[in-house]
Amino acid sequence: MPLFEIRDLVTAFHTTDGRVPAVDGVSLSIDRGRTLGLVGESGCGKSVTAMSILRLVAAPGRIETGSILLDSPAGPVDLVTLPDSDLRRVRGGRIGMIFQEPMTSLNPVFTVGDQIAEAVLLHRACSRGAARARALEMLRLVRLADPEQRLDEYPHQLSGGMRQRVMIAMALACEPDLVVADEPTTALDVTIQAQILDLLGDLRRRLGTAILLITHDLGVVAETCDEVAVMYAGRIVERAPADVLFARPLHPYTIGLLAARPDPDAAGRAPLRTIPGMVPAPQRFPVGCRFHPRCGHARAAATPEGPACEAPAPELLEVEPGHFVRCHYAERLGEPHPAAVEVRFA
Amino acid sequence: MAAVDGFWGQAWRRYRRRPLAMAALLFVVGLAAVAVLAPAIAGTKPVVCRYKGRLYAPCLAYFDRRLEPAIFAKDKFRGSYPRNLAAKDPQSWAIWPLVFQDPYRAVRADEWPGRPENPAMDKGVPSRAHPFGTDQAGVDVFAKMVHGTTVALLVGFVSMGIAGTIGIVVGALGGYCGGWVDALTSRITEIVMCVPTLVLILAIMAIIEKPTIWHTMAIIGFTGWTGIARLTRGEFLRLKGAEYVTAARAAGAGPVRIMLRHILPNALAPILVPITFGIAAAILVESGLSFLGFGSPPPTASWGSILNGARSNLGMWWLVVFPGVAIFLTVLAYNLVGEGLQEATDPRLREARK
Repeated sequence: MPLFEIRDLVTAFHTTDGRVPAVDGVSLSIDRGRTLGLVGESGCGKSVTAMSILRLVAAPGRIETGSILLDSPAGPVDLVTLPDSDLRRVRGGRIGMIFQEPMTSLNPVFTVGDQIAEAVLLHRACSRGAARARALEMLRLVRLADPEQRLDEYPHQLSGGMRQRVMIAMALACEPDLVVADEPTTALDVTIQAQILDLLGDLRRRLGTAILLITHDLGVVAETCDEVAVMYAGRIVERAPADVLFARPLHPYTIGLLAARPDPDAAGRAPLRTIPGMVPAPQRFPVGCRFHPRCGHARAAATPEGPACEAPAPELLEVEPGHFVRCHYAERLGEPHPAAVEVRFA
Repeated sequence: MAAVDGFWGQAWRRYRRRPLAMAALLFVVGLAAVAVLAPAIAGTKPVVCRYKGRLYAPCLAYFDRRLEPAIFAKDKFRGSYPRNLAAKDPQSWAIWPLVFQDPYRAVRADEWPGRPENPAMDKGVPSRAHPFGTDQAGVDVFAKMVHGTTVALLVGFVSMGIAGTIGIVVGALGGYCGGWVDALTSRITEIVMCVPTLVLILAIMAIIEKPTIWHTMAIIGFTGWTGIARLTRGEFLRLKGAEYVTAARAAGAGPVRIMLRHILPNALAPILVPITFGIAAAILVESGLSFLGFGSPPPTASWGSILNGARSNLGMWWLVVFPGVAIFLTVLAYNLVGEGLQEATDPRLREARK
């Protein structure tokens, strides 16, 4: 089996407005040492998916169904049903996590060295001195300048990029098999972003860690990921190896996303392309295909009896080896279709 | 960039810039020194003495009677050291307290060579020999006040120690666990909040056969934790959603570790402020009780009980002025320390600094 697999995960929030399924039947898998990019707009459920992995979703959110399997020597364990004490060994031990906001993800009252050493001590039976030595080693590994001095500094003395390096050092301190990186570069400026992504890729090659990279930035995905899953309104709508997805996107949403990237070759006057409409709120997901109200394809295919896309939700179909699409017209999507035209006029 | 300088280091730097708060802090530190050194400042027992070839520190008896070396009782000193020491062992020597006056009894005539008997009642006006005067029984008020410092500080620290511990534990559990735990702890807090402390203390002191100062402290502590609990709960509610707490959970930290190591140190600053104010309030309550005659029983020297002595002898103004000023200054100092602490650790000020 793959190192890590999510099957039909449903995470819902029970609010006063009723049940809000932020993640609605997500499945994905990652092999050892590979990088999977999970892409989508704000509010599509990608962060909730990440938080669900280590059961960090806070009330009123709850994982309702599905399983999150982590391959272990004694066979796969399901993180959804794992007892708390065992789950704590997985957290930080086998799965590390990097958060979006390096400014607030470090405890302000402890030094950087103390925090990395704590992460080590939580999972390894070693002395404080050995943990500190490990912290220093990690700071060197993440290429922080002056690691000896930084060890005794407080988070507020470091810049955003430096803090994110510290977060990465913490997440990797116990050599986890998988790192979940939830928008690790969103809060950083562009030059630092590139450095951090470089670092992540380098560490993955050196340590053999698998990475689940969550981002809304397609450029980041193109540079770093082996495989990409595109998420829309709580569901994965397309999944393919990165080169295939960028060369031949099939789902109208993915096509729209790719088309909406600014094109450096186009003259500065060309307007940015957008996808018409808005991301639906989870309380009011459309019936059938959740993208159909914004999909040119659905409008073109509409029959006098009503759009076919309102039929029961489409399944994720494998249209070619390793390339999955969730669309009623999956078989016909290879051909040029009106969506591409629609996007241009949006 | 400054050297190692954590949150508390920065708070201290900001605190130090406030002269009034610093003066108040020095005053409190001075009080603590007086409390610890009280037997060496005023007393009738030698601080250190050599008697029959051995060294003793009889002054420790002021902290606890059992610390009085047995040999002096055996040799029938009857609490009077200067003449007995010289008479029973000519080779003996002693280091005496700065002021030879006892907080519990009047010094008799010639107890100290050449010193007359302490004046009593309205003859005890402050004079050169007795700068703060003497009370009805002729006990030196200065000695009483010096030894009363211990009570004043002890009341503050012990009762707020109890209140702080209960308040932080209850508030932390409620705020962190949420759900029914929070509902339960919040209701308990509200119920305790409704208990009128003063009436409860009066009632319990009336029931207990031999009330001591420790009973007063315990009652103040066990009823005074509600404000701290509410504040702690709020801080824990706020901080349990902080990203570094989520990060700690993601690193595999358990709930106890998260509460104690990740949330509490960040919540401590705002919690310390009401604890400091609480110390001031506890000192006031104890003084009030002693004044009413419900506080520490007679032999214990407490500022409030000196005030109590003035109730029946209104002409003895020095029994009101000196302890009154001491209580006033101490309470004021604690409040100023609390205020300084608040401003030194206020998150809004921290933000403004960035």
